[in-house]
Amino acid sequence: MHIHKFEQFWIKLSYGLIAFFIATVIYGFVAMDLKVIGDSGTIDPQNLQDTPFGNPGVREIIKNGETEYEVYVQTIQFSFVPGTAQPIEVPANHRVTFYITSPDVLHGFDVVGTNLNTMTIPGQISKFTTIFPEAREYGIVCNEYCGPAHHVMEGKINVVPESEFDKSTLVE
Amino acid sequence: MSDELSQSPDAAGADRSWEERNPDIEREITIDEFQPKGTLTLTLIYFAIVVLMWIFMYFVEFAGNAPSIID
Repeated sequence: MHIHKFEQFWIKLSYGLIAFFIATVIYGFVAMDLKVIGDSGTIDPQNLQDTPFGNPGVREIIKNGETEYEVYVQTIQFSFVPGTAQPIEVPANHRVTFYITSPDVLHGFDVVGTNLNTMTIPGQISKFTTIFPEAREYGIVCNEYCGPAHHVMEGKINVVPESEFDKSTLVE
Repeated sequence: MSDELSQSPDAAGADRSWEERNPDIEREITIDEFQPKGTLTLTLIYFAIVVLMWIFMYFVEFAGNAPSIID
């Protein structure tokens, strides 16, 4: 079949575009070290009280000689626990690992204006680690439709300077 | 289009040449002589827009949206 040279040119251009898209994604994950949520284990959503999710909140841990923080969050219709009733408070410039799960239905945990964004699925633990570089307040919204009051499901993360971090709010 | 042009070649008579059947068309060219440069230019402009939008979306909106997941 004879194909006009212009058509041949833009067919090649289209293949090149696909190759370019794939190359940028590979570059992001290899050279820029971008990461996305992976598989982080399962849990019985009916029995969260026997797990760290039974006492959700911020915990301090020492890992490799560094102080790090773990945040256990339950997403329930229609709030983040903690997050909605009281903000999640963490210090700036420390590694913070979030563990999030849901005892009822599918929710989302989207830290607005950042790349921190995960589904929270009953029976699954969503885990991600980040460092908040500056002290400021971040909003959290549920970005997976979870029921009639989904649109009001929101919370806050308060990132404070390390010197102002109140360790009395930590949970055991 | 005139009635003559809209007639099928069979109806116009197969014994007449293509030029006789289509007197308004001055010259027949081959497919490779047809050079749609305007279409090529538009295609390149659309291509450039898609590439620039992708670079903006991926590197600025996604990768540049710190804080990010580090582990």
